[in-house]
Amino acid sequence: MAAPRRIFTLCKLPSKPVLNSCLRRWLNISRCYGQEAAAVQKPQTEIQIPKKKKRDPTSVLQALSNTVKKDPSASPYMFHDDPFLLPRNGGERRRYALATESGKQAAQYVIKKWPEHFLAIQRDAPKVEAFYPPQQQYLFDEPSEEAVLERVENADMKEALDMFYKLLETGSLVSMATSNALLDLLCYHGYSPDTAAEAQETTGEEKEQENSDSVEVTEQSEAENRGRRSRRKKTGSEARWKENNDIEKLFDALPERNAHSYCSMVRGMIKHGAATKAFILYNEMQEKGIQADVRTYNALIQGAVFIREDYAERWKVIYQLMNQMQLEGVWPNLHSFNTMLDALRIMGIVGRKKALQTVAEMKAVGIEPSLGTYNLLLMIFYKDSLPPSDVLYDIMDTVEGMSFSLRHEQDIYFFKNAMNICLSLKDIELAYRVDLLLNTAENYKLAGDYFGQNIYYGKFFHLICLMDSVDAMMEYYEKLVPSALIPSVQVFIDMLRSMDTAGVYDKVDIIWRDVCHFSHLYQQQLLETLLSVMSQATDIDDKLTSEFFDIAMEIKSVVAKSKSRRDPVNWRASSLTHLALICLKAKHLDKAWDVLELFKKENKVPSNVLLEEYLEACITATDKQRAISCLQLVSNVSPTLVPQFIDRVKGHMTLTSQERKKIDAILTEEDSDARGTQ
Amino acid sequence: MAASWVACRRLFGPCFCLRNCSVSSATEFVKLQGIRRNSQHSSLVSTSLPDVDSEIERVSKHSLRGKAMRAMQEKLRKREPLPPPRELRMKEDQDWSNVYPTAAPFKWSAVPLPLRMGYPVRRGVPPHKYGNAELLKIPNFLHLTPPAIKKHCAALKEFCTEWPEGLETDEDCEKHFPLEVITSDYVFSGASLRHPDARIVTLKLKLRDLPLDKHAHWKLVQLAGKRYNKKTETLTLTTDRCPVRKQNLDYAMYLMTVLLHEAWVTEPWEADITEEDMEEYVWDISASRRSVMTALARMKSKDNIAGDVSPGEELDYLRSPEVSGYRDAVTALRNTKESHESLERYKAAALNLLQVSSREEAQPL
Repeated sequence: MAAPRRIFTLCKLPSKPVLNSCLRRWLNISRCYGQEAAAVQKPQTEIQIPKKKKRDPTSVLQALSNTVKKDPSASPYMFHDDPFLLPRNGGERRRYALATESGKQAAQYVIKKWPEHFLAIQRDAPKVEAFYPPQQQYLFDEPSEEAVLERVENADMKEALDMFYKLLETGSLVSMATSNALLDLLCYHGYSPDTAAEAQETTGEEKEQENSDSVEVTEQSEAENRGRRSRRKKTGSEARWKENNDIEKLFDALPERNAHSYCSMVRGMIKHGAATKAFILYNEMQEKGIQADVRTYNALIQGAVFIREDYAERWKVIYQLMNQMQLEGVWPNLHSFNTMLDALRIMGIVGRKKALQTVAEMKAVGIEPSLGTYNLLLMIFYKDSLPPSDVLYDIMDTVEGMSFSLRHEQDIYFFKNAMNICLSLKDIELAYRVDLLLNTAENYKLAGDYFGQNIYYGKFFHLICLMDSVDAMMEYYEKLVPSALIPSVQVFIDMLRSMDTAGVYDKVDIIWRDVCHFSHLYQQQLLETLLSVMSQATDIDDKLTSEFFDIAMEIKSVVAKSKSRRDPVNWRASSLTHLALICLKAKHLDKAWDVLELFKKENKVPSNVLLEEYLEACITATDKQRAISCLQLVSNVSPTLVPQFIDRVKGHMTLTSQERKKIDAILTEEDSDARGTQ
Repeated sequence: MAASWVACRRLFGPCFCLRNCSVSSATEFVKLQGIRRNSQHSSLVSTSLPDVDSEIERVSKHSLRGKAMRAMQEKLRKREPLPPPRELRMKEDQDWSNVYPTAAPFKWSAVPLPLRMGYPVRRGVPPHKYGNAELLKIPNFLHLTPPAIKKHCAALKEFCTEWPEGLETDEDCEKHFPLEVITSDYVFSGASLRHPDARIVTLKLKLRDLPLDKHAHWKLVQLAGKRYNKKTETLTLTTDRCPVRKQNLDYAMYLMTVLLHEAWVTEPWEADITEEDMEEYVWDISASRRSVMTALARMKSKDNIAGDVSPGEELDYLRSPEVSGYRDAVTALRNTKESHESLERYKAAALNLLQVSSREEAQPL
């Protein structure tokens, strides 16, 4: 399906017959006629060809994509857009996403394992390296700097290290750049030989583990594997720095070391949990007069938390480091301050005292705070144990209408945390402001992953249900479901409660439709809430009443259907009462009677209020048969009420003698029963 | 009704249009669907799912087929029903380009149109869009609806510059930019970005825009051969022998330069040109001139049977109005299309030349 685009380039023709130069000039014009055309042309017919506007390669695509807004009825793109394949609740959503991912990984595995089957046809031009299996063989086998660099490029730490030692053995000089590249790689990953072996073992079976570059130093048996993995989750997937490990050996073996090597070592040590050693090395650097760079200082600030226990002491270390930076003329960056705030986050009262000072300092040195900075501030000032503060209001005043880009790893947590705080403050206005910020410019890109977004929107919607009108709630419901939020049972319960409080019931059928859609049909709590809301609705017109009746009947059939399921929905007396009341309101006496019989079947006792209502309905409808059967039921369930009921029946209805006899029979039976029990 | 027809025609082209049997407009359709939300596939108009129940009833309970059908039916009944398609959640005033932002295969649940396509079974109507593979096969243009294109144009406007002044008409463009370079770019979904035809460069030029005299023009036409279109006076050079477009463009420019140079060169052997090689009839070197000269010489003196003419006499003859008139008439007759006027003119010139009055001519015949 080729779509040709034809380009017509029009060129100028000079008036004089100067042959060769003419055509040469045409050639020039045709190449860049925009610039030169005006110069060649005679002044009287001068035509100003405007210059081509400058744009980057993706700007057209971006402009086109900006014409597209969110489609509220669509699920996220990762899912197949077909009802059969779309997730309907949080669990399915997670499962489907994982299935997609695992499918991709399985494909990768197959390609890696049998690359020869996938290399037969190579028609792609330009070649996309990422789609091809990794190269199995290296170009350089002899020990040389190129060989080391090649292995470093491939992140093959073991091979690279071996090659490096081989190279040293041959006695040749290794350049600073090569040894530093190797050292960088090892320090970044925290290399140690047993973890490398482990990583190779797991290649086949556990893709996930392999992907996270699992490197764990402590030697443990297979049995402890599970415990270790859970611990790793807690501490991140970082390896631990071991005493006198291969990296240190390499560092000692280096013929010469410069500032870069030292900085890599310090960063590696901090990253892999050897903060004390890092500080020792840093002191060594200071003695030798080697200057550390800003990233190393950032790492050291991060490490300060681990070498001191006391909050004040920690602050002292950080303060000293900052002073040292100033002395050495190292200019701090966003990461320095965010690391500081991250350290202050776990420093209690000291943290709260110094946090605002830190931000003030940040502004003083002219660094624009990122969303991550604000997120850290939120985490410092809003804790469960603390009284609520108004930092978020100040932050929102500052950032309102600004657009942010991803600059720090903490940036993506701001919206989630801010919405959490809005919920705990119960401030809907603030929540709307946060949401407005999220929808400003391209800030939505910082909303985090699907999981985080679902939390964000879940809390946002919960807050709307609690605090705002039903109209606003429905508006946001239309907007968010299912593109941003796959509603859980709790969401529907919140919505129903909100409607109940506001006394607006005309949207209940929409909710019931969506309950069916998102397959929350068999949720006991939800059905009970729905029934109670519908039965307690007051001031509703006939149309709504009949609608409610329809829904109630559907619920009844759903419950009947659920009996064959593993987790059946059980009727409770209260919900049956609600069901019967709905039927009575809709003037369906027969259905109400069915419900009353359901009471018997389920071994439940109807409440007195319900019985009175039912009798009242019978009397208004002058349905004697039902009234009498109701009396019989009453005599069974609550005998004390019988005389009162009989009085009312007799008082309000004209009865034939036969019917009177029946009623009397019930009464006498009742009396005899009473006597019998006495 | 009309709206949906138009939409279908735009989106699927005429082949689909013929089979489309929609009976309600799109908005009505959505309303109807809203009412019938409980039905399985929930569209009053477009559902043509087979009536399985009546089909099964017709099959005997005891036959193998009947048993299998009933077992399958029982199995399907137990299965959880398919959730309703998302077209039901769509609002009537929604922005369609958000639903289909880019080219995508047909999604039956996302297109709120009562579409049908395919071969109708048993004189029925064509199958419903649900699970319809025919609709997946054809390319759709659901992402390129007129409003979407309008939006794209508005978005792309900021990358465009103003149209230069003085180039309002095609004639202006041709006048100021006579050389036309045509190349093609190909966009397609495939493994490779390259297309072999993208290298081809076509150069177009009207000969009247080149600085040529009569000889150079004639020679250029001879050199260009088939590449010159006499009717439109256009010289077209197409180059595709090099692997890259730029090389082809350079080569085309080179060819143009060489042609122009060569046209202006007059080689010594060009003097040997014969009448057959001439592009147009030239009376001065033609047989007609020679015979006119001899005829005139004979008429002057009866003795001169051979009709020899001295150069001085020849010049005299050529200067005479009769000869020049005859020359013009013959040239016109040969070089332009033959017509009644030119023939009449030729006749008059010939009679004039031979000094025969029209009266004399009329008598003997």
